[in-house]
Amino acid sequence: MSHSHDLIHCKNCQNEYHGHYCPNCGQKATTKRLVFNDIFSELLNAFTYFNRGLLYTLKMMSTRPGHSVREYVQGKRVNHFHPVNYLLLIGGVATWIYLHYWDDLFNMDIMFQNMKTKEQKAIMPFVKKAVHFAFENYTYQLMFSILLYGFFSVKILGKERYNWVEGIVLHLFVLSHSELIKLLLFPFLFF
Amino acid sequence: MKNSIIGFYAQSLISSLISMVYMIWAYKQFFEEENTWSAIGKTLLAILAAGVVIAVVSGFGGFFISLFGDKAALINAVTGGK
Repeated sequence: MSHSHDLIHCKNCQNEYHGHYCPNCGQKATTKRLVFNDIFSELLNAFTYFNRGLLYTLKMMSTRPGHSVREYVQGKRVNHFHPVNYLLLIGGVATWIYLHYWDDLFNMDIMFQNMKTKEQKAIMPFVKKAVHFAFENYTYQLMFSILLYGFFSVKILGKERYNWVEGIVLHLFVLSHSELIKLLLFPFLFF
Repeated sequence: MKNSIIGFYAQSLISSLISMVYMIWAYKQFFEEENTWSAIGKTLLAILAAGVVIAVVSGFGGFFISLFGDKAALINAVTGGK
């Protein structure tokens, strides 16, 4: 007799049900004793699941950004990478790249070349510190921008169909992906 | 490998333009705006509004830095030590 006909007692939440998975907590009906390979197969599953969501979101945000986020807001969320994780991932990569390559790419002394050496000496440490601080906290800047863009876009374009949180979700995806586009253009600074 | 300031500005300008076009495209789809010009205008207005708030907040930040920062160094830098 198959599992779909037997009454299953969930090992995780003690719920009783029919089927292959517990409708209450998602626990599998059948569990076998753990062997050494399970450690790696679970890890592989977690990794491929993580990548599948990321690749799907990358594809959607590159081909139909507004439609896919609207569908996400309306409830079609299973395949998507979480918007906050999307921001943290891209923001983290951007912060790392800017902090590591900025000095190699852009000479700030050029900006102050018209100043006398004495003035330059006085202002340069302050400017360098400010720029470094800005790049170090790049993800926080993005978060702050997202709050503002979310608010104004919903007020100006939303026609009361969307609330602020939905506007924020839109910009978590859109500004993160826009940042990714900027990152892809970043290597052109080398030429 | 130091780059010229022109290259930096050109890259910043191009990437900002691409981001803006991307945002207009996304807004048009998300808010289901049928008129493209209306979508462009409203998107630019939203960007401008957010930009004004960011500028105001940054201005306050600069103001507080000048209040509590190394005043002598700043005055020296602006006046050239005169």
